[in-house]
Amino acid sequence: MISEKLLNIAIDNLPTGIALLRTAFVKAHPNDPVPTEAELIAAEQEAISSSLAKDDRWLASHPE
Amino acid sequence: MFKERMRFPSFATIGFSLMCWGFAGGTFLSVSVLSSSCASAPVSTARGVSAFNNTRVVKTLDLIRDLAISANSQNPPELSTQTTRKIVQFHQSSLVVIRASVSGWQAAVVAGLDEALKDLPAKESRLLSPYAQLAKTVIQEVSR
Repeated sequence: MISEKLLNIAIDNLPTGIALLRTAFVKAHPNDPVPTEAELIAAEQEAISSSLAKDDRWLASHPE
Repeated sequence: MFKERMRFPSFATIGFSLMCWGFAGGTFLSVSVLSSSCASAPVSTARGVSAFNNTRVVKTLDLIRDLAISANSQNPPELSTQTTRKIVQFHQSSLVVIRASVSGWQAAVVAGLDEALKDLPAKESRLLSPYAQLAKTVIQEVSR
């Protein structure tokens, strides 16, 4: 029963987990295009904005 | 030699990772991050490195938040709504701090994480602790 629940949680979070594993293990190929500083900053801002939006949605749907 | 193998995981390695992901939670990930050489920023400017590292931390904090929401949505919930709210609010304030200060936010985020996990029931603490350790490891790594 507990294993089934853990499995459900794991399945829900699988894409994020795979992305983290990729980040941890996969190295950039020398021929891959190198992102510019502006692109890295844009990616950072986008990651923060979209993540904060998810926080807002959850908090709005679960008022205290 | 070991590091070279770690960089190109086989399907068996990935399968084992996924199995551990399900049954041992973030513990495996913590060990993985500790034992592998972490990716370095593709640019050398201070702001570029900071943006790259901050994104990695944000993604790790997302993992904790997403896990909490997912555990709370189980029937019956594996994580109470009260605890999930604490995690989501910690996540939200951490991202606001990271966005506002670019660098020097590490101590505030780690302190916020400790505060969010303080006094949790043992079952909830067991579920979240490996992920909290992962986040601290990544924060420590990017602080070097």
